[in-house]
Amino acid sequence: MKVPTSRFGVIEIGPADVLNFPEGVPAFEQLREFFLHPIPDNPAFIWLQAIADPDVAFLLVDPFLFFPGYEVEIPEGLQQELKIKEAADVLVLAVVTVPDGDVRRMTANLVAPVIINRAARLGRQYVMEGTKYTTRHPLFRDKG
Amino acid sequence: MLVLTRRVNETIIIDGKIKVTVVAIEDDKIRIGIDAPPEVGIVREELLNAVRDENKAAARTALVPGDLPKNFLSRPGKDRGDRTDM
Repeated sequence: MKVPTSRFGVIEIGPADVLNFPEGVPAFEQLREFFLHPIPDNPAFIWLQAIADPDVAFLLVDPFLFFPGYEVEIPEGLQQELKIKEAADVLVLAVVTVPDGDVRRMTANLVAPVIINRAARLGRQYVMEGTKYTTRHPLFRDKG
Repeated sequence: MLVLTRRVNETIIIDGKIKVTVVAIEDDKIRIGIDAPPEVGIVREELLNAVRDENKAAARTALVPGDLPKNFLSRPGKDRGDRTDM
């Protein structure tokens, strides 16, 4: 199917590309279907585009590349919900915010990673309780 | 809203499966213990609100892929979980 997006134009995706977020994501609970839109030559980042709203896309980053000590424990209940059987099927990504479009100041939300089971095409943004993480960890130290 | 009075070590049972116990009270703080099945999500409201606010900001990201400098890839941040504002 063809999905109109405000950032990438019309994107052709197949049924296997649709990721279901049964709960939506916080603040966008009504959006239940997304797909991943890779960034050429930049595997550290990937877009998560809402299918029903062309304007809503989240820039995601591989948090383990930028925060080597980062840990996410997926509780049993969430493993069941996302039908996780193999660790290899699981993507753990962090939502990036770019303040005023200034890439150097971009931050990652480490307290609420996006967990995706590629095999079952199920996803959820999991708000972790009891961690030291926050919603805004700078990806880059300002050298200026 | 249902309002109930509890003392320390007294419990409320919700839906036959979620047990909420007042563990301790000191000054204006109470410590609450929650026993719930694994599928029940439990989160402090302010943390969920922080995530909601951050998602709203993140969804406005108008970055085009070409804006992501590739040289950042070889320069991982030194941040090791320093606290910033939620």
